[in-house]
Amino acid sequence: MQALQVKDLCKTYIINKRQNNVLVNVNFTIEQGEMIAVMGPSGSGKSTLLYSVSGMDRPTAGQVILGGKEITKLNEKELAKVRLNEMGFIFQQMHMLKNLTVMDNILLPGYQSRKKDRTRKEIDTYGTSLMHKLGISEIAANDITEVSGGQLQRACICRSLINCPQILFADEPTGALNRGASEEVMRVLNRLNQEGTTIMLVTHDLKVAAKCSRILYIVDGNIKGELALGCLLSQKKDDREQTTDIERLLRERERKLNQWLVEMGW
Amino acid sequence: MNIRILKKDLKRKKSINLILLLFIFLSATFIASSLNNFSVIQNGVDEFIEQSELADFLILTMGGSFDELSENDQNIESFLKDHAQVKSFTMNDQLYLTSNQTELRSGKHLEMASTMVLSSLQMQGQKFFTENNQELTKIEEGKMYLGRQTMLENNLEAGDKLTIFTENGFRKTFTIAGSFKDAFLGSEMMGSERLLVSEADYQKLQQESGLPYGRTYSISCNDLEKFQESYHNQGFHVLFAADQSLIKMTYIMEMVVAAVILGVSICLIAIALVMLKFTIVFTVNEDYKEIGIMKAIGIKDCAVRRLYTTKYFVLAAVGSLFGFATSIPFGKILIAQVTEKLVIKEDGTGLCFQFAVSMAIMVLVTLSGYHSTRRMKKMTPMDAIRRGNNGERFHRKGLFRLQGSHISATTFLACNDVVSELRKYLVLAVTGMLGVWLIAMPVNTINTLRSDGLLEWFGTQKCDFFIVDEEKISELILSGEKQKFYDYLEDTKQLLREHEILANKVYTEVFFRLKIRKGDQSYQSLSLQGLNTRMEDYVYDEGVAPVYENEIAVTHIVAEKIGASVGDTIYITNGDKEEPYVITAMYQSMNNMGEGIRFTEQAKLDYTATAGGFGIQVRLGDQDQDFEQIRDSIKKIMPQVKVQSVQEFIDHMVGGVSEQLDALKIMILVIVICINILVVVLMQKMFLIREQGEMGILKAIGFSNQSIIAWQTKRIMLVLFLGIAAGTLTGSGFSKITAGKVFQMVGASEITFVINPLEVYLIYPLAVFIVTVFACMVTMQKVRKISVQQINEMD
Repeated sequence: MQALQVKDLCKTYIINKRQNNVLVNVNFTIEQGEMIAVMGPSGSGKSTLLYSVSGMDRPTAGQVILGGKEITKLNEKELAKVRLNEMGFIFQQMHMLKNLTVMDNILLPGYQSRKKDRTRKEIDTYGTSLMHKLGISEIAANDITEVSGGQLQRACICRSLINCPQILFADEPTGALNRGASEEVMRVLNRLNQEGTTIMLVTHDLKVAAKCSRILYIVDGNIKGELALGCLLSQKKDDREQTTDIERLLRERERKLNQWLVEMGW
Repeated sequence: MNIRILKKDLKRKKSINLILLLFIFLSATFIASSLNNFSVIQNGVDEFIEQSELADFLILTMGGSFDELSENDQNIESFLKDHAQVKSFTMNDQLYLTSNQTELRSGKHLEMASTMVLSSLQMQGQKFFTENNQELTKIEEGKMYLGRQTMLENNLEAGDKLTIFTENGFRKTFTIAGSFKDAFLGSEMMGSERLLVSEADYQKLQQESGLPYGRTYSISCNDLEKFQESYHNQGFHVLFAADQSLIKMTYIMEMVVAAVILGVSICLIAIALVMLKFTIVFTVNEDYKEIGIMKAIGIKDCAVRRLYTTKYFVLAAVGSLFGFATSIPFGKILIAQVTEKLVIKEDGTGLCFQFAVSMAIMVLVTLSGYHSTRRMKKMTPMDAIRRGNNGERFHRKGLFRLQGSHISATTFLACNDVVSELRKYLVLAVTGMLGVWLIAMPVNTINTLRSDGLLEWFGTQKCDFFIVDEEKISELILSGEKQKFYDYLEDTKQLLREHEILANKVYTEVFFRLKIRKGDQSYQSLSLQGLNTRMEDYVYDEGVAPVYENEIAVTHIVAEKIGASVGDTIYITNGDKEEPYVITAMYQSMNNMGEGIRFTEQAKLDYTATAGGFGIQVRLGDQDQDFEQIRDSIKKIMPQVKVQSVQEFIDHMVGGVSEQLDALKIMILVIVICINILVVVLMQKMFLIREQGEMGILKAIGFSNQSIIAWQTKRIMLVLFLGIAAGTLTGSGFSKITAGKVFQMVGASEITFVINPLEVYLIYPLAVFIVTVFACMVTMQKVRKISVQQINEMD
């Protein structure tokens, strides 16, 4: 089943009366449960693509169909509703509202969403369980200036998940983190993906991309190629065995990815 | 480079700079014009009195005739001739004219406040001026000048005809030559206006008309205080006697309007300065990168501050100069009504003063701007690197918790923001509060002035209406018999009853000017005796109502003059005798600037020395009777009388100030709304820049534009509500310390304001609230243009 379908997507900016075609007829599809990484050189249109397909920005032309709904045709209000209820977004910088605690930042979209099947108490419980799952339950009452970058990014992930979205978009989710924190965040994203959440992320980090099931390589606003790496985690094996397998598998995937990227002109 | 940076800044923050400019402009306009007006009025009264050559002390008498002077006038004349403190004095004859003795071309009588004083232009001791501020030196025979107020009330113009006729068959028609300015009787608070005719016409009127005769004594003193002391010891029967300072006080109501505008202006400049500081702090926070970089490349603090101060200097200079230009016509509009009464010199000093005030505003704004930039000293190059955060301020900001709350997310965000960063919203809260104060003051004053209860502040009792027959009052005064007053009251009651106007009570107040003494301190005060009244029906502040004929109540001002208090025995000269009286109560009165002695009805006063009366007061029975119908009926049965509602009577007593305040109230409401709109638009424009990151986050996590507008609007609503609520709670206190002071100056030291809660607590605050919130919502529509990418603009 298709989680996201992108057809002939174009995005043009007019800067100083000059037309700048950032995305040119982009076509791709993301299946339910996939974890896609978009890579490409600086200025290739990675982030523009992510913003356009996630409804954060309006494309100039083309179609974006999210869960069967063509979001490019939606008005601003409907689009906000989609952003609130059907997708999650993780930014490179850990943007949160400074007057709220970590927990309140996470709960905010939950409270704003008017899904009738959930009470506020249920949202609170779900928020707490998400924090627990992502290992940040001890910082719930903290101010956002009192926690580390890794913790804050995990809190951002919790916020993006509070309304149980179909798909998660992430713009360089580990870009502002150190190696340890990056690995933590990627472990969380992989686990979420394993649990069924579709993820599309933009990265220039080989190690991050190697953890995704498919890589799209974008150059000058168009998809130049794609590489299928397959699912990283298997649910059948026990944890210890799995960790050893993953490390070996990762190295292999990184090597394969590196080779492919060189072929693409990385 | 400085100019380039400034140009860029002015362009980038166009609307913020424009609003700031508007504030400076409005402040300069208002403050320059109102300060100038205030000084013009204050000095204008002095100058007018000086130019009119008004004497130090003035006495108005009534009685006798030109060929047979009354004994009272003879006594006054000899007293003045012999008195060591009298430098010089003049005596001028005058006649008293009532409405019923006049006829306009339309056949109607001349509408006048009360009995008019008819004088010859050749009157010594006072000069009169034309509408164009030229000294009136000649009146042709057959022509007449009237006061501005009488001209307006009767819709008269130069060239109209006015006939004077009397019972003895005298009839003479005059052509109205125009209006004139009179320093002595020019203020509405004086009650009487003057008519001026040529000397020849006056002599004819004096000899043939039989109009009541009187005199004006204009006295120049060596030592006014000593003269007054001995004058008050005499006990002459006069209609009016006062020194220049009391006459100046009658112009106080003219100052009220100027004072209100001045109050508004001061609030405006205060708001402008607070807004300036707010804008500068905002700009400095906003420009952390530029400031940090400038510092990093070695530019000194003072140079950076100078750069920003230059911008505010440019805004202040442009705003102040435009403000000065606008203040000239604006000031003229504000002062128009006053210049109709006073002779105001236009020698350019006012213009210089206005210019100086505008320049002072420019300096004040620039200095305030420079002072507010001191925050820049704290900024380091690190701020540029760390996006304005130097890593030192990591304290908890939010005070509320969303978790577990039951309010909507946007309401929570709004409340949390306001509580967490109260200082940021203080300027709007203060503006809201000041706005309510400024509106409440004229509204409360108008409601107080228009309340029936104010009647009691004039030393009389509540009634339903007044019947004023000036001619009859003059006749009764001249008769010198108390019984005739009773007869008149009884006849009137009977007449009303015959025409089915069921009056419960018909009563009147008779005025005297009597000498009151305690020890060696004495004073001559207006005194009142109510006929057909009960002493306990009057309002007293202290003590108990006088019961016996040797008991009196006095006003605080009279008590203060002679150093007496409740329980003291004082001496009053009544006729030829000085008799002891016990003060049993104190009261307040706005009559004659707070003067008053109240006698019981049985007190035996010398009615040959009466000085006037209010007319008949009528209290109706319980049956519903329409006042307008009653007025028509009375007019039919007593065409010579004037029927006044309580409100008309009060308006007449306070000189129509409530009408002026009514117009001013609308102007203040408009100004307050405009200020609120400007403040809220300016704040929201800044928030749109400063909080675009937060707005981007909210958009990214699924908040719609409407939700973001709701968040911002609720925040403004909350702050405005707090400000308005604080203003509403304290507004009456503000009225007391501003308008209350004016009431105090005219005799009412403890006025209780009549507050219409619906108007003061609901309608006006709600109007300000709704318009301001609407302005906020309109400004916030810009939120639609903020994109999620602007999340990166976050601090």
